[in-house]
Amino acid sequence: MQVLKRWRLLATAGAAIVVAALATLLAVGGATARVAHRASGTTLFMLPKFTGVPPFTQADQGAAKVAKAYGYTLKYGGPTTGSATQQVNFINNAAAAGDKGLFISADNPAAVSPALNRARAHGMKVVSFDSDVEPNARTVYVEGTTAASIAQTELNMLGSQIGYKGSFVILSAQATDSNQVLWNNVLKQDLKTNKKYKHMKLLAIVNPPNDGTPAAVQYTQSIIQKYPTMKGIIAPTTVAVAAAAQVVKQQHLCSKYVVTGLGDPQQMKPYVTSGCVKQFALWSFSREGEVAMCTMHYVLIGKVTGKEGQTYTCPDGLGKFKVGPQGTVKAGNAEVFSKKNLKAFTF
Amino acid sequence: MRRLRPIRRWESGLIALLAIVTVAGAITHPALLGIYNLQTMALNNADLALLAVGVAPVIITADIDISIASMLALCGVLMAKLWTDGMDIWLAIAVAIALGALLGLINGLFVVLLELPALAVTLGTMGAYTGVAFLILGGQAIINLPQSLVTLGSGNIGATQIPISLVVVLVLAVLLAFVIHLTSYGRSLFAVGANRQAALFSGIAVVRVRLIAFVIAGVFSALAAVLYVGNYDTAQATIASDQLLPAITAVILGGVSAYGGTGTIPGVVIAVVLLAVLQAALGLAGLSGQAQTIAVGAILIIAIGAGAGINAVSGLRRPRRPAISEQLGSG
Amino acid sequence: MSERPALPTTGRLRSLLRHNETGLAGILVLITVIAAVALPAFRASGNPSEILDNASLVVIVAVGEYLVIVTRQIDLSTAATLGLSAYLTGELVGSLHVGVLGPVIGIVASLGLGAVLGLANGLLVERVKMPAIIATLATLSIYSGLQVVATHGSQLYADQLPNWLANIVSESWVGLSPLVWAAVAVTAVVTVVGRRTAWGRDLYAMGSNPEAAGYLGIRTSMRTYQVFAACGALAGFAGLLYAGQYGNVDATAGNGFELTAIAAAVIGGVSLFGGSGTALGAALGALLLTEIENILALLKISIFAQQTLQGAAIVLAVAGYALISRRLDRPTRRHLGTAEDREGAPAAAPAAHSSAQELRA
Repeated sequence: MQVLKRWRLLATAGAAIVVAALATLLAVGGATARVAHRASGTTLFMLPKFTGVPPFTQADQGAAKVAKAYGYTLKYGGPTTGSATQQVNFINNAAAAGDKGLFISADNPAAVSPALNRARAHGMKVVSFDSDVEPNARTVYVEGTTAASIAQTELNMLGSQIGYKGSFVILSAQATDSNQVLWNNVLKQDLKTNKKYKHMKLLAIVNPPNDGTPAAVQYTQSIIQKYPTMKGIIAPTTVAVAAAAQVVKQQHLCSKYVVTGLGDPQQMKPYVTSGCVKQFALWSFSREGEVAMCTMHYVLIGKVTGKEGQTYTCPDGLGKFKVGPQGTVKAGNAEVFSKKNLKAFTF
Repeated sequence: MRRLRPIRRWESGLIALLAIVTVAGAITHPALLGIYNLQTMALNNADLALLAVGVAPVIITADIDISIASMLALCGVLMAKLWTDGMDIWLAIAVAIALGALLGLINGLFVVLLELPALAVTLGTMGAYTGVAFLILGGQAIINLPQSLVTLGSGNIGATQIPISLVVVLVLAVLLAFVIHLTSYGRSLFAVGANRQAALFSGIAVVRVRLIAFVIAGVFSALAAVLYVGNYDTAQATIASDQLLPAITAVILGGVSAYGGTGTIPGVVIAVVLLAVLQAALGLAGLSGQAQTIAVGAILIIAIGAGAGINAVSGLRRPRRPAISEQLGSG
Repeated sequence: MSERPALPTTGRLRSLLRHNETGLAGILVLITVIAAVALPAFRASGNPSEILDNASLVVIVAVGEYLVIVTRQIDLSTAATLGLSAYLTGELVGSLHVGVLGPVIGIVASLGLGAVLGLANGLLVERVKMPAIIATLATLSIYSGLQVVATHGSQLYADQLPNWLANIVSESWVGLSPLVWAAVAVTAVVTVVGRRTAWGRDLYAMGSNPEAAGYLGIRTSMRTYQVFAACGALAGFAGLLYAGQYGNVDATAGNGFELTAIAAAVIGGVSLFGGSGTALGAALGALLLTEIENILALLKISIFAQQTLQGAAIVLAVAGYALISRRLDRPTRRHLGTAEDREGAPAAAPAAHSSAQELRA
C-alpha cells in the first residue's frame, strides 16, 4: 500500500516535471525562433516597456526592416509586465552578450539610467525611443513626435468638435508615467497662453491607479458622473482612449461627449466606424522604430553624438533628421485619423 | 537530526542544479561568467537577496508576509524624502530601518495578537504601505541621491571589482544565519514552525517568537531599500513592487517549507543565486521575457516536484504530513 | 439559521449576527445610503448599474476563489487564467459564425479551458503535494507567460467580437445587463451548492479539519481537484465576459486580478483559515470593494490615498470578523470554540485538534 502510494506520488511528480519541461520547451522554442538567425556581425537589442502589445511590436517590425537593410541583427525582448528591475536585467544581458546598441522605452526613466550608464561604459550605445530615460544615460532620444505637437493636436481635435468652447477632462495613465506628465503640462501651458483656446477649460487630469483597461473604464465612468456638463475627454494613451470610447458607446453617450486622444487605429476602428469617435491621433510606431534604427546606425559609426544641430539622412525615403535640444530627434508627425482616412490606413 | 537530513540534501541538490545551469549557460554564452555580468548580477539581486532571507524566518514559523516589497518602497521613499528635506543620509538610513522594524511589528501585532491570517493581513498592509509611500511622494521620483548612498548600492570595494552591496548582503545573511541556526531564538523559531502547540506546551514564548520574525522581515526590507535606492539611484512609491514574487519564490526554492518548520538561510541565498544565474543564462541565450517567466514557474514546480519524488523514493516521510496547506492554516 | 445545524441556539440576534452576510449587506446599504445623500454624482443615473457591471467579474472570480479557500487552499493563478481565456475564447467565438450556438460554445470553451488550467493546480497541490500558495504562484508565472505567447504581440479588438458578447454590458434584461445576470447566476448556484449539498459540506469539513475529513470518508483528493477545477472554470468564464465588457484584450489583461478577488473574498467573510464563509459573502465583498472604489473615485480622494484606505479596509474586515466570532463564542463555549464551530460547518474535529486550531488561528 505504502509502496504503491509512493510510486504513484513519484509518477505524478515525474509527470508534472515532464509537463513543466514541455511547457518551457514550447515557450523557448517559440522564442528562439525569433532570434535563431543570430548571425555574425553587429547585434542590437530593442527593449520595450513590456512585450506583448501592438505598439511595441510595430516599432520592432519597423526597426527590424531597416536593420536588415544595414546588415545588423536586431533582437527584441523585454519584461511581460512593466517592471524596472526586469528591464535592468535585460539591459545587463544585452551588454554582457556584447550587443553593440540598445533601444529602450523606459518603464521608469530614473531607475534604469544607472544600469544604462554601466552598459555604456561596457561599450554599448543607447538610443531611447517612445519613453525617454535620463538624458545623461543615452546618446539620442527618438520621439514619435514632439510634446508640443501632441498637446496642440489634442486641443485642436477636441476644440474643432466643440467650437473651442467648453470644459473637458484629461484621462491619463498612471501618475508615475513621465511621458504623460510632460504632455499634460505642455497642454496646460498651451491652454493658458494660446488665445485660440481661451474658452476651453480643463476640469481635471485624472490618473487611474494602473494602466489596465478595467481601471480606465472605471475612471471614465466616474468622470462622466462627476462632470456631467463637460464637453469631452482627452485621453493621451491608447488604452485610455479606447476605454473611454467603449464607455460612451456602451452608455449611448456618443452624441453628448467628445472622446479624443492618442489611439491605435486598429483599436479605434469600431468606435470611429460607428460614429462614436470622430477624430483621434497617433504617430506611426513603425516609423518611430525605423528612424530609431537609422539613428542608431549613425550613432554607431560616430556621426551622431547627440549634439544639437547634427543632421543625417535616412534611407527608404524616411528623410532628413536633425538632433534637437537635449539630444532629441523627432521621428515624424502625429497623424489625425477620422472616418475618411482610417480605412486606407495600415501601420 | 532527522529534520536536518533532507535539508542538507536539498541544498546539495540546489548546488548541483546551480552547477548544471552555470555550466550549460557558460557553454551557450561565455559572457555569463564575465566580470561585467557577474557584477551586474550581484548588484541587481542584492535587494532581492535581502528581501528573501528577511522573510524566510516568517515562513519558517508557518506565517507569510507579502508586504515586504511595499515595506521596501515605503522605507526607501521615506529615507529619500528625509534626505531631500535636509537630513543627513546616514541618519535617514537609520530612520528608514527603524521604520522597517515598526512596519514589521504592525504586521506581527495584527497576525499574532489578534490571531488573524497572515496572508489577509499582509495583503491589506501591502496596499496600505504602498499607499502611504504614494502619499509622501505622489507620482514623483527622487533621483540624484548622495554619492555615499549610490556608492554603497552600486560601487565597488576600493580598486577591486567586488561590489560593496555583495559584501553587505553576505555579512547580513551570515548574521541572520547565525541567529536562525545557532541561537536559542532560532531553535524556538523552528519549533514554533514545526508544531505551534507543542512549542507552546514546551514553554516557548510563541507570541514573541512570531512577532520577532515579522520584525526581522521589516528590518531586512528596509535594508533592502537602502541597497535598492543606492543601486537604482531612484526612490519612488512603485519601486520593487515586482520583487515580491521572486523573493517568495527564492525562499521556497531555497528549501523553506511553506508549511513551516524547515529551511536554512544558506539555502535561500543559493536559491537567489540560482534564479539570478538562470535568468542571466536564459537572457544571454536570447530567450524572450515570457520564456523566462515560464521557466521560473517551471523550475519551482520541478524543484518541489523532484523533492517530493526523492522523498517518495527514499521513503523519507516529510517532516509532517502536509495537513492540506498549513501555510494557510496560519498564513 | 436553519442552514447552520451545528450551531447551539443562543438567541435569534446572535444567530443572525453569525451570518456575516447580514452584517455585510447592512454595511453595503449604509454606505450606499450615505453616498447617495452626500454625493450627487453617486445617484446620477447609470452609476448604480455601473457599479454592478464593474463588480461582476470580481464577483465571479471571488466566488470561485471562495470554493478553494473554504477548503483551506488558495489560488493565485486566477488572473492569468482569466487573461488567457479572455484572449483565446474571445478569438474563438469571434472566428465562429454559428448563430445561436455561439454563446453556448463560448461558455463551454471558457469554462473548459479554465477547468483544465485549474485542474493542473489541483494536481500540483494534491498529487505533487505542493503548498497551494506556491503551486499557484508557479502556475501564475507559467500561465501569464503563455498569455504573452498566445497573443504573440497582437491583441483582440472590439470589432472582432460577435454581437452577443460585445453587448453584454449595453443590453438590458429586466433592468440589469447580461453581465450582471451572469454574476448573479454564478453566485446563486455556488451559494446553494456550497451550503445545501453534500458536496459543499465536504468542502467545509475539509477546510475545518483536513485529517478528520479523511476519516469521515470524504474523498478529499477528489474534492481538491474539483474545487481547483471549479475555481479555474469560473476564472475562465470571467475571461470570456472580460472580452465582452472591455472589448480590447492584450497580454496584460487580468493583471492584478488575483489579489483583488482574494481581497473581495476576505472582506466578504471567507476565512483564509478555511471552513467558513459563503459564496454570497464573497460576492457581497466584491460588491463592497467595487462600491468603495467608485465612491473614492467620485470624491476624487487622490488615488494614492485609495490604496491606503483599501488596504486598511481589508485588515479591518478580517479583524472585525475574527473579533465578532470570538465575542459571540465566549459565553457558550469558552475554550472549545474551533473555527468550524464558530462558522457553522460540520463540527467534526476531535478535541485535541480544536485546541491546536485555536493556537494556530
